[in-house]
Amino acid sequence: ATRKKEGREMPKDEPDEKKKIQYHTYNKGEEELEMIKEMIQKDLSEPYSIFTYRYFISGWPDLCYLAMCGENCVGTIVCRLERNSHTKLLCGYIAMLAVDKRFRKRGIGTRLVKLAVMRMISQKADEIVLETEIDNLGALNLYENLGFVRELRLTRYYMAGTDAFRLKLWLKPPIPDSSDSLLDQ
Amino acid sequence: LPRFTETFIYLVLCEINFRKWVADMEAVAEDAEDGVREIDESETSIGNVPPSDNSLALRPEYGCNWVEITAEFFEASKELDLGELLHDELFGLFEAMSAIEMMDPKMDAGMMCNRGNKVLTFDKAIKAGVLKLNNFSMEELVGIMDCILGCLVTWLEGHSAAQTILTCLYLHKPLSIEDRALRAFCVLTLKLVALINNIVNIAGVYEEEDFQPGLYGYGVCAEVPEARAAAAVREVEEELQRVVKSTRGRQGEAWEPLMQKQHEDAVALFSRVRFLRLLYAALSAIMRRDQVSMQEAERCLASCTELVCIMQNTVGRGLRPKAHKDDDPNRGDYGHMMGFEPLVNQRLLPPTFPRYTRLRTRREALQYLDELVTRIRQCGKITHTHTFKQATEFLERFGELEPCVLSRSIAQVLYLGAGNGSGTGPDDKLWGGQSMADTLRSAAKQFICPPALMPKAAVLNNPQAKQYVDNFFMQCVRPFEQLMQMHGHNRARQRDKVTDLLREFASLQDEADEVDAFLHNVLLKSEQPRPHLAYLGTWVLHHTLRLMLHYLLTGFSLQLYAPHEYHYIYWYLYEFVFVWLVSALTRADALLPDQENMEQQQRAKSSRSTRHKNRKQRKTHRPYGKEIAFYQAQQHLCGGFYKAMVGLREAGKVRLPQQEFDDEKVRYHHRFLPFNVVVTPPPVSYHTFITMTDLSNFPQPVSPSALYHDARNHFFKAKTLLEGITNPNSEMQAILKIVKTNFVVMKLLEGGHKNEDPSPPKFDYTYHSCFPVIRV
Repeated sequence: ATRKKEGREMPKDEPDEKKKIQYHTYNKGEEELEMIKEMIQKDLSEPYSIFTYRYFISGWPDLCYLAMCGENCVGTIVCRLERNSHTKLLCGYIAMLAVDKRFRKRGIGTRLVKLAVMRMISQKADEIVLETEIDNLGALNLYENLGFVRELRLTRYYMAGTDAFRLKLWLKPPIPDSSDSLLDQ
Repeated sequence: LPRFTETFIYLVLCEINFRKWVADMEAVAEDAEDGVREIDESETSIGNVPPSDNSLALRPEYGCNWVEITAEFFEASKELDLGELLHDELFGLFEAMSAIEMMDPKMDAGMMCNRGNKVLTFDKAIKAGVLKLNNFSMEELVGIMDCILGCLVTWLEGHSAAQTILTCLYLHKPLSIEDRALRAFCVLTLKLVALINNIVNIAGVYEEEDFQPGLYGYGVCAEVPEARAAAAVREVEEELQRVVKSTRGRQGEAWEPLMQKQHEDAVALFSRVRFLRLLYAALSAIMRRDQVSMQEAERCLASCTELVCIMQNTVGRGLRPKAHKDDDPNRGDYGHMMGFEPLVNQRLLPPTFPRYTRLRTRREALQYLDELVTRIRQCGKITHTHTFKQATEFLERFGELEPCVLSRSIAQVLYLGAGNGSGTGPDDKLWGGQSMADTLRSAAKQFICPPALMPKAAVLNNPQAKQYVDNFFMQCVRPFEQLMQMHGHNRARQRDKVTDLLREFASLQDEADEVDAFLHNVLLKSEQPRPHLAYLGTWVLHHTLRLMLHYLLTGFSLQLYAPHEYHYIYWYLYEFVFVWLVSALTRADALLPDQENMEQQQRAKSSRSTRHKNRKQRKTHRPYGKEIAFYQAQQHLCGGFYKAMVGLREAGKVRLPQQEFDDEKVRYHHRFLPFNVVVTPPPVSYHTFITMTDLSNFPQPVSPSALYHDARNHFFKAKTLLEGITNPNSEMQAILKIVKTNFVVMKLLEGGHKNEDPSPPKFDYTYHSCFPVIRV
């Protein structure tokens, strides 16, 4: 989930907001993990344990991207790609997405999602999902702009009692292959 | 220590001071000795409760040779590289995600219990002298009862009993309470909890987000008979009633303040105990499922509505404990209210984040109870329906209000029964006493009058034909039961159920067609040759189509579709679903009077004197006229939306997703995927969609204006159809409003209004959750 939280302490080295943003996959180990954790914790409404970060990032490091402004991490995305035992589909899951408050509205979030989605497509994902609160307009706009649609409504999904949407990006037609020649009379 | 790749040591023990951990464990052991976690068989579950009689430290068979290894541990861990993790084969990162870090206050639920005051159970609280069992003031009684009602309501809203009703210590050992009023109230509360649990379980229309039935092994006074519990409350009521009467103000005299206080306190208490008794009585009566009991229930519930009013007016008379400086606003006033211990069951809960359930305040709870009583009275009206069709429509309309799980469950149990599935007991009959198979038979007959179902049908002489027909209706039972249950689920879950149902109905369609064909052959060879084509088939088809309609429309009410998807959804409704619905009903409409007339003629043959009369009565009767008109209106409404959306797209006013990942064909196929199991009607491919909606099919040149013009015509047609319906219901009236407004909007757009403005239109669903007013 991506959610804003009220005022947090500023990092010691303030990122220069005019510097260009660089993107790279998780590849430097523990220091990056710390940065990612700090970035996400500032934003999220539900706290995660360190194991959650490790599970995703060490499992799928190439699906984890960082947006860097110089030495500072100003955005990050954490994902997973796994075969669903029930549907047999290769399903991508966007676990976390966060962008520093001061760097919003610059397309960083969109860029991070695009990078992750492209990587997952290159790894033959069938679909990509995530959940978000129904009133998280920022997230809904971002993902729907990229082609994600609301597949399901999950009532009282979050602890606070709010509903959520499961957003899904379908990458392939459903199985069995519903090619038009089969369906046309 | 052996190495594993990709790991480093994260065994929890090394993150905390080991010595402190031992000290805390010893403290827990002390508590255990004192009986903090009493294992009283009559009370708590055995579950994951630690042994009460000794701790690990004192168990002789394990020995107590603690060896500290902190230094060695950290020394050995230096061998691991940065980023390496050591873990057991069966306990990897996935498992660690849901594991708790012991003593981390954010994760270890038990840590909350170690903060501040000790968590007291019923017995400990008595011992500590903080829990009264007698000599309550009126304020205390009213306060405690209102808090219990708050817990009850929070539980009904879907929260765990462990964090709601079972946080009330008085409900742990109600028979130990000495005060008669509180004792009677608590016993009946537990019986009410058990009754509600039963109703919701039987109905089976709840999911985890709706309701949590678990009671963690706590007793619910099952050993106290219902009659005795009610009688105990009644006695208290009568006593209070005497006080109320004797302390009333007398005309002409000043009402002495003390007497007035006594009076008002008695009124407050009286209303609460009576409310509980009548609510219980109402639910109990409802479960008996007979006409007389329903009347009794209605009387009880009507009184409940009045009583809630009194309760709301007297809510201030309940004791409010002093606020604590570190009060968590989420806890309301329960944390310090005598008899309430929010953490008493914390260790029974799974080791997730320690969250409180925010309990409803007293006022909120009373408001909820008022609305609940209204809902129960409303859902009871399902007993006023006479046909299967009416019952289904009732459930659909009732469901639109998004009622609570209890009222939904009551509606299900009332209509479908509280059956154990054996098929023999009275509980397996529908309301009204018929079996489902017979009810469906009547429904099919009423829908389209299949010749084979008519009385004195020739076909009944053919045992094989009779068998086929009987078997068919037996096969219908399960799918139609599931159809009713689908309407009982919460709205979001209904969609999942529809997907399964479409599959069931597709099979049923095959069956129906086969039986029709067989009967057709039989009838053609009979004395009075008559066709029997697509009677049962049309009946089943009609239901399938309504399911498809429900699936697509709930996509709107759940806000699942994006504006850039509207055009294909509305197109599918306009070109196909509504067309087929109209066609099915038109067929029934045509056949129904024919059959009925043939019936009358047959009867007339046997009594010649009435033959002339019957000829005169044979009028052009359109039983489905109103319904067909409404479907046609909706069809044109959707046509209007479809054309409007295409027009808006052409005008660049619909925000389309970026091209990179989006594929409309893929989206389309997934959105309509559940329809692929249906054979009649056949699924409509994307290719067909593209072909049929190709703008080159339209008269050229196609501009947004031309499309707005088309949309306008559709809305106008819909308007005309709706205005032609006599006695329109509220839904029809709402749609008429929508159609009229959209007509105007299309006219404006056609005329070039806001031509230059690229901003997307807004879709206003205030009048109808599925059909918006387009606002530019």
